[in-house]
Amino acid sequence: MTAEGIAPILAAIDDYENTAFAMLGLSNLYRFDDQAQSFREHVRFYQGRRLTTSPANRRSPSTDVTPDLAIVVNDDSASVAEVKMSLPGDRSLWGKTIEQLERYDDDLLGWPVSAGRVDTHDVILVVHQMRIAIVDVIKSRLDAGDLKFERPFVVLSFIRSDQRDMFFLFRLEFGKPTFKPVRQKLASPVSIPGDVIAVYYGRFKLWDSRPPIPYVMDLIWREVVADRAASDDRFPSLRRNSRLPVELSVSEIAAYLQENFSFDQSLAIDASDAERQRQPSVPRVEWVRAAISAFVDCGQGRWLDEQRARCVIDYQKQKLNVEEFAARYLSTAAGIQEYGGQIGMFTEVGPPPKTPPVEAQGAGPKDEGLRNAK
Amino acid sequence: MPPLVKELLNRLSSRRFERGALLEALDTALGIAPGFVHAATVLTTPLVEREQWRLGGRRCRSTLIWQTTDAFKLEIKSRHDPDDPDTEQKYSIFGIRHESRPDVVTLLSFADRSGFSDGIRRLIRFNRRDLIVASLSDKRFRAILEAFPTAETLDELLVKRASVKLRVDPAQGRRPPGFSSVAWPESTLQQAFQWVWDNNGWFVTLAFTAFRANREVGRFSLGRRGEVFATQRFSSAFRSLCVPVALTFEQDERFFGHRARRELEFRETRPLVIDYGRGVFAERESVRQFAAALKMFPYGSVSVYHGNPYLHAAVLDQVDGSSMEIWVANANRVLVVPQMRATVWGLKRVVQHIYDTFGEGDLADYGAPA
Repeated sequence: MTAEGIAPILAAIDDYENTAFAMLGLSNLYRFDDQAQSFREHVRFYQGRRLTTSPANRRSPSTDVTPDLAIVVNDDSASVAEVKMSLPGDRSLWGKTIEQLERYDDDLLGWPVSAGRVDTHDVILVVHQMRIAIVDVIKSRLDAGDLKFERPFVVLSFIRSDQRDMFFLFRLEFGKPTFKPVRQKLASPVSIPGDVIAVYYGRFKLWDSRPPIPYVMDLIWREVVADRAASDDRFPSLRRNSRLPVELSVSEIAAYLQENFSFDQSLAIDASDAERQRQPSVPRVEWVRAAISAFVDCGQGRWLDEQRARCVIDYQKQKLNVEEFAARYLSTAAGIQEYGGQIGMFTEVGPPPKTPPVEAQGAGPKDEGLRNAK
Repeated sequence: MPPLVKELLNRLSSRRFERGALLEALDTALGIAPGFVHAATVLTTPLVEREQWRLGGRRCRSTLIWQTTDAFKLEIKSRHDPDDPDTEQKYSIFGIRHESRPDVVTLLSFADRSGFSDGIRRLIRFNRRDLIVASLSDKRFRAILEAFPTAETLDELLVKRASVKLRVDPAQGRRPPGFSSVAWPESTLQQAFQWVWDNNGWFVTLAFTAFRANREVGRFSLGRRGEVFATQRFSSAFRSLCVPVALTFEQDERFFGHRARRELEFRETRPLVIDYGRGVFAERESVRQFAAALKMFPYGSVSVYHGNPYLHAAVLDQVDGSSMEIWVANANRVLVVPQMRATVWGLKRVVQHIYDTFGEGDLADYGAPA
């Protein structure tokens, strides 16, 4: 597979990461107290939280909505934000994004506060600076009177700057945030160092949009399969062409990734059931199943049941990385279907030759859950 | 063979020694006839003691012959064709436990080059997870050597042979990313270190002659992986080279330890930075060069998510399954963010690879946890 062949996948991974960076940057804007040089513990953020619109919602009455980010400052003040790294080229399609924001302009139910409601909240749109033209569209519709927000409406632009040091720049393009420290901070563009986002990203990688499957494969390979294989006594002496079978279930992989790599970690360890119950399941089981299917299709594992709930992935000490997983994914039917037949037609790699596993048993103690695997 | 040497060799092969007596016997042997001791200092994992040094497989395995409180003897059987018993070689190897911590052991061969290269080195290579070798930075390497004359009341060290690796741009396709050379410079330590610094390299081994009152007292060498060679007074080399090498294990454990997310209460991250402090990544070319060097990590796999102008990569160490993310988002430094499984030695292997292939910086904790 040529570098050009896998380029669309790597670009999609870049987009997926950039959206996470924007969400993390916005959270940091609310959480970090510049004067105290510490985090505001009372400010909490929730990714993809399910909130319910009121019967009076002018776009989608009594429906669940899942804004990219819900930020709770306290019982009186909160924000919902939608992050758009890209928008359709055709401006007439931007109306969908605006409608989405209108849905959030409501007395939403399901906030993680005692009554499930906050007094008011800001509605925030975060757009990549290259898509800033949407502000003109919104302004003209507001001026014309065919768009109205009852709650504070804010547009922020976001861009990654690659000067001497990399940083993320947030600029206020429209409106005034209610939370005073953020409003004051945004009086001029705010830069967040890349290192800060990188440290956050060490924990918060998966959000409630399907990531490119090779990205999930890479994460599962490194953080689940290799981790479990390394607990096996046979691991140190495993030779490059040998395979160590690791038995896993789709649900345990999903639960482990959710616990350790999703935005769910923003919840306190002792979060109440009410706080937890409206959080999305990320990664979704079907994303994990798609990644495992790709491992199976390219000869790196097999399903153990017809329901495709349990599988064996063969760990190998080979140079398997995201580029290799992208190339392998493009050699599968799912990869060809997702990224187009033309890429598939030029695929040069097929499934790797099968070598027998070193032993037929799964790696590691079978009753040891992923959470406590060491 | 002189009768004295013969008798001594018999004693070495038949008697059980404590550490002090073994060092004394080696010094005596080196004093009465030409010979040498070649040693490697390793940190052993609990598995090694649990298995009573029964390590390895068909290619290279060790058996414990005897042990006292602080020394032992091994037999290493090394086969280059695992299916052909005729290719098997047997080596007698001594082990000396360090006083400060018994899980650090100096393995040594006496007057037997193959015993070291085919025995000790091979045993370590096949048991990389459980026999951990030191990895000295330039700073530590230099500090150990500079302290040697003072500790042993020597007047001068004269560098006789230097095996050097010069860093080159790995993106130009050279594998491994370095240029190896050997020189016989007859220079002082200071001159040798200045030269290697000027040429953006590091010493693989540095062999030198030690003088006291204008008389040669022996030839010694120290390697970047903590390997030590001595033609005389191995007890001095043990005291002033092997022991300082052994201390680096504890320093590494202190710095790299307890960074795995799994070990932390909230599964937060405890990143570290390699600070170069001179805008080394201000040029985009340097980021590309760094990414190319990182991708050559010999003990695992590297996923580069974003290569330029900033770097975001994830590294899997296949020796023990450690995982970490590497970022270059600042002109001065590399950020290492350990993930769920991140051992001291997994992190150390990656940092040392960066040192070997790109350049050495100052290690520090990254401040704010997320």
